[in-house]
Amino acid sequence: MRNRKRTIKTLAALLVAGGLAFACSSDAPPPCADPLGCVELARGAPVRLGVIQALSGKVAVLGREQVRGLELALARQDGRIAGRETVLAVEDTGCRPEGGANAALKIVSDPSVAAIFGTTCSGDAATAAQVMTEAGLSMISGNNSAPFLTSIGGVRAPKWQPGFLRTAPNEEHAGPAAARYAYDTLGMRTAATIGDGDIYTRGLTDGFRQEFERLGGKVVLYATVNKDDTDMAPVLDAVAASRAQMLFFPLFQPEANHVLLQARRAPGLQDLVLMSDGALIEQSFIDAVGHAATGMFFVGPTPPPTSPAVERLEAEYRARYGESPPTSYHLSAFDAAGILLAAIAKTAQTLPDGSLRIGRQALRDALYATKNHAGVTGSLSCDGFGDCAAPRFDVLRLDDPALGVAGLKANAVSSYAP
Amino acid sequence: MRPSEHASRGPRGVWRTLGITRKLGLAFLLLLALVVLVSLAALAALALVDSAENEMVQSMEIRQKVFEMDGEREKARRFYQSFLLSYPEIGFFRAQETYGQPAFATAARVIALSEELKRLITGSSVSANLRRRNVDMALYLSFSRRFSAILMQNMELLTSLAEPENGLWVRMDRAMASLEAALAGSRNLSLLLREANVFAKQYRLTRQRPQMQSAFNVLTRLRAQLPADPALDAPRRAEAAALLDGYVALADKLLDTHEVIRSTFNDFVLQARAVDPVSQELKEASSAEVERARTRIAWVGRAAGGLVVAATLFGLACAVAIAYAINASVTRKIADMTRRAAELRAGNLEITVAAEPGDELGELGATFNAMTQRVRDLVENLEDNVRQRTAELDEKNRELDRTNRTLEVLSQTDRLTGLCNRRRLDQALRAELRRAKRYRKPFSVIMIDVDHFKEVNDRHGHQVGDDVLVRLADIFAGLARETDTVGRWGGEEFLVVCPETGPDVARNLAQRLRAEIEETVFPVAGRLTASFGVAASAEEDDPDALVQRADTALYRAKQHGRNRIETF
Repeated sequence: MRNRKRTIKTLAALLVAGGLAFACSSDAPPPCADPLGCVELARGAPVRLGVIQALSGKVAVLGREQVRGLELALARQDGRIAGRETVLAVEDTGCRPEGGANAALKIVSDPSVAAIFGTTCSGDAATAAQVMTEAGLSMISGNNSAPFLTSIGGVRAPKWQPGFLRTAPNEEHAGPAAARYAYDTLGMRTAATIGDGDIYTRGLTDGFRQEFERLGGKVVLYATVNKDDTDMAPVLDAVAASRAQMLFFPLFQPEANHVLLQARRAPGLQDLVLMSDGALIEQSFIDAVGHAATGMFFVGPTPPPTSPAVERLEAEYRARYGESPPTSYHLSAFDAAGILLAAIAKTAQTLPDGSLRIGRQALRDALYATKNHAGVTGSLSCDGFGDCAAPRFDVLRLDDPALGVAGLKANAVSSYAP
Repeated sequence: MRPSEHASRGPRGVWRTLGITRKLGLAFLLLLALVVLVSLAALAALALVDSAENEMVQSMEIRQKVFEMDGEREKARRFYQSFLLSYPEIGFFRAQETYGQPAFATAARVIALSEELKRLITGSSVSANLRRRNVDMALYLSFSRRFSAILMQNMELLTSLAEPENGLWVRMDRAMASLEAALAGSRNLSLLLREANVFAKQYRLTRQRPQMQSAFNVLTRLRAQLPADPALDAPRRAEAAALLDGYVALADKLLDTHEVIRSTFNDFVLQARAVDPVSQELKEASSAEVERARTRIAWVGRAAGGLVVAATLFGLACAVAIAYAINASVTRKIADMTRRAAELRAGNLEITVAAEPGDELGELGATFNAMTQRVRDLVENLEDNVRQRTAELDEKNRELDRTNRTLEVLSQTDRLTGLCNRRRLDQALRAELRRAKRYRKPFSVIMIDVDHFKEVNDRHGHQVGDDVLVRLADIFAGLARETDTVGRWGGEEFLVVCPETGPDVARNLAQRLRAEIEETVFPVAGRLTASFGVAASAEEDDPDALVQRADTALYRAKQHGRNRIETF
């Protein structure tokens, strides 16, 4: 009887061992262990990237800059990620929050999308990032700068979403840079702000007000216009009534254009100092408003110093698109794309059956773990909130619209780095 | 037989080597395989049709759900718009009851439908084509859920805006009324407030923020003038200032709410722009799937029918081939053997049958051939024996005939003289009597007796007597006519029957005989004589009577001196 039991045990052990050996020898890939799931790409299937940018309206030029930065980064590696061809699924947000949400919904509906490159406008990013996070994806932007998206004062910002990163500097410090310049250099003591309800402008106006009032100035008007508003007279009346010495209006086109042009015609505002943000540091704005913008100030991220890397990229830009880059945001877009592509390449696993697997949490982790990425804008390291660029802002003054955006960017009257 | 030999012989060779039982078994096995094949084809067709029907039903359900969801979404949107447009006129509660609550319910229905649609899409029966459109499906479902969520959120916002008890509008109206009351003592401020209220009302109509900004601007002026207005006391001014702040705060909130609601409209537009094509594609795809499933069912039906017909025709061909093969290898052989056996039975011993080795019929044929050979051998031996026996018998018969003839001669001939014996003479007498009677032609007889023959025997012995008798017989035979019958009547008596001869002619013949005897010198015995009695036949005569009359005449010749002739 003991011998028989021993024989049965031996046979059972052999069966189990055989089964295990068979299972181990099978070509079936192991199941995905990533807590957020995996993007599984069959043999030969391309890597799909979602691209959510503002590609219509006055801000389309910024959105195109972002797409081009991504394309240039992909071109550097023959359009391939992890040895696979890359397909871009591009959606337009219209630079509106609802546009961001809808565009993101379209992108995340496709389970083969590995990550999202976007957005242009921070308001879009807030809604898009929420959809993206719920889908377990990662998103990186070269243009979003609203503090609400990552961190404010070293703590998590209200609109922070896990998986969202950016290489555009957190404009938490843009408002203060503008405030410092206005208060310290221009001697402004009263100021009015006009936002559009968007988190981007709100972040800037909040930062401006806090720093301006911290310095001793007073924000006498904190007004808001709606997107698509064209009649700026009432709000300019309010500005005039407030007796503010300066107006800080970090708006997008075309609302900013209306504000500027109507302000120039408004009685009692001839001496008003006007200051806006980096969204207007581009040629189409100067072309649209012309001399009305003369003397106007802009606060925006400090462009990287001219370097061989920047010159090479701009040469590639010109060669590819037949024109000079209208803004410097293609640089941050290029770096954002570089970080994303490197993280995907690091995360992607080629399985025995030839398929490619990208763990979504692993990709996020790889993005957040980015350290000293050699970008064209400098060395980039991402923090836990998703900010990858060191904040440094310039205040520019437009002296001669005829010199265009190049003349504007060359005329930095102040630089600020916290 | 080894397999290699089977292979080298080919199917026909193998078939030939199979036994009848195996041939029949193989034939029935082939027919069974055909029946199984047809059954399997029918089963496969049924399974395909079933699968296609399931896919069709699933596709139709999906299309129905998409239609339903589109309809429900549109209905919810219309309820929502109707609510927005009608509540200022018919009142919030009635508008909510008429449009708001149905909008809520419809939005909830959209969510429920989206769950049902999701379940359908992830079901196992959904077609591969629709399953490949999972991105569109997911997009459609996401947008439908988002539509419902935003609609519900907006309904809440609208409620917070327009609710008659505590809505923003009502609260702003109350705040305005309180402000009017607080500023009632100051005409200047009241006018400003009224101006602000006009802008606010314009905003209420146009929803244009600059209108509200204008109201804010007026209120800002009012606020600036408030501290210095002499018409109001300090508490009233403080109250008015607080009310102003509250009103502006409410207005800001109203503006924000409107902005959200406005963005919602844009959201709906964007959703419609994104979903409508997807919805249309899904409907078209599901319709195409339904059509494809229908086509597939029709195709499967045709294919199954064709397969069944082909299998049936093939089966018939096989049956014919099998029947032919069985006929060629079994029935025809049996019929041939039967025919050959009949021929054999009819006596054709040269019959053989084809005896191909391999099956029982081959063995039977070989046995049949061996048997016919054996029969042939036996028959050939029998004929030889018969021929031999027949020859022997013929010889015996001939010998017997000779013997019979000898016996007959012997029975009618006198053994000593060679003349007719008494029996033959009797037969001749009767025959002549019948002929005489029939043709009325009399005949005569001559009775002859050797004179003194006893003395010869006594004197010279019986041998000399026999020699005398033999010599006399020679004389009689020599002188008698061919038609006469000469015989030894007994001892030394002789009888001559002379057909159609009268007594005279008979007497002449007797005379010649007597003379010849008288002239003959007999060895040892010397000269002898004989007496003759002649008698002619009469009507109603009989042999005995005729012979008696001849004998009577002979007696008289004896009496009258011997060596003479007497006629009766």
